[in-house]
Amino acid sequence: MHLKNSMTLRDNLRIDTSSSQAPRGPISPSDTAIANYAGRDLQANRGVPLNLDWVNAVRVNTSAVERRAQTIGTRRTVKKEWQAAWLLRAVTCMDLTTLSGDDTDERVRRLCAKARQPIQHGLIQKLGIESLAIKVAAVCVYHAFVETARRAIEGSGIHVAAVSTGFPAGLSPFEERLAEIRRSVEAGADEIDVVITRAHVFGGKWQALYDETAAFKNACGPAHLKVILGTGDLLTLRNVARASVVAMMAGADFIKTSTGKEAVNATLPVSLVMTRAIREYAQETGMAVGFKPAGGIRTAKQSLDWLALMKEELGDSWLKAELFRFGASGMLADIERQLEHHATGRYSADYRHPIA
Amino acid sequence: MGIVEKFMTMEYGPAPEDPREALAWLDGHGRRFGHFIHGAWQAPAAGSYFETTDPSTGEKLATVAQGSAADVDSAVKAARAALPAWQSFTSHVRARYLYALARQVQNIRAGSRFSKHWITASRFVKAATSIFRW
Repeated sequence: MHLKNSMTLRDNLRIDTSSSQAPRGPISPSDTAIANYAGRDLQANRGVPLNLDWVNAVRVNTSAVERRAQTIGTRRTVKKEWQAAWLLRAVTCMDLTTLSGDDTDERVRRLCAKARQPIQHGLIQKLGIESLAIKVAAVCVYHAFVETARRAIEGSGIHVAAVSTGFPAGLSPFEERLAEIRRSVEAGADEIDVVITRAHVFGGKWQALYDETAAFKNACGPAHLKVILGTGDLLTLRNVARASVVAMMAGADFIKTSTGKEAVNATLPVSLVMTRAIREYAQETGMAVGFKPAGGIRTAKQSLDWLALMKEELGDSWLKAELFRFGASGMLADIERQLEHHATGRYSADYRHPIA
Repeated sequence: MGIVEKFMTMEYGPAPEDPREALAWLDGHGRRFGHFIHGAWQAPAAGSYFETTDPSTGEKLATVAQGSAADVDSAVKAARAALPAWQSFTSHVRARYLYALARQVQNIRAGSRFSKHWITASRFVKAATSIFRW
């Protein structure tokens, strides 16, 4: 699907061998598809060997990216029942997160209660959506609260994500970062959000970044790996695109924009670049990588913008929690308000929709 | 149930630019409009009307009163008479009226991109609202 105003990740076309060759990487035909892009079934990411030619060929046309990003929220709108449905979809793709120094077991338990029932019961009845059994995708906490969260969401099918590897700076000793991942997985986390060493990106040390991320992936075992690029720190869109590609080659299940602690967090241009990188990786390797924008997404309207971005750039497979997550909590209150407006025609104050 | 099905398909749904609602509103007024002066629709003093058309198709949308100096005079007179009552409101109350007015026009405008006169009217109200808010 080519759209006007599209950007190319590479200006200089490398010879494209993907159509004539079998996909790279160890894929056996028995693997079940987790996604579909342009009629092709895609498998979960197992990583491929680092391909420096590919990484170095990555280019980003910044002006084109900005222009395209500007119109994502304006060219299509969803209204009325469609809007309610999209907002509910956004809820099911949320990683309800608390990552503060003042977190307590109690707060995590309240967050988990909200995760199980993100929309007020009365509102669910008014909207007639009991059959959807809406819940969020995961709760995301520091390692110290993994066990608490695991117990609190027992039996709900909600995932427990732990931030790891010296979050948010990612600069603690390497062995300790690996041990941190193993400890969180042992404690019951089935998703691990790691931060990369941003210095590897600035120095163009792609091999180091690849080895680091692959080691994280290895330490995760069966848990899903979400790789935080810290896009606010990376400064250029080309850095973002290259770091995305390297993280995916190293086996990331998700690539995530930011920690939520940088000065600039998830933006549409950065997200566009990352989704295009995911698309190119899927086309080249036949493997699907998820996307998680985090930080700075606070309103229901923004959640619709990001859903539209995923639908336009990657297709309907990326509108599900398996391949798309919002790293946001405050957004849920606004979504609840909008749903209440849809059901009753009136807005309520946001303090009537506490998160935790 | 609608929302459940839409949750599954994740379609965009119809665009809000559908003109049916606006056309129904025009029909409700008999597609003929006088001047709205002193809280009521008035026939123009000179008795002349003109037709407004859909610029994309050239189709006639409605017949609209042609204003004259006499109409302007009566409108200004009505406004003068209403001014003391209006001035006695606090700015907050005035803002509420203007905001409600702007909201109505905005709602109509969503369905009437095709009428240049509506666009002019809504721009005027928008401008007026931003002035009177202060």
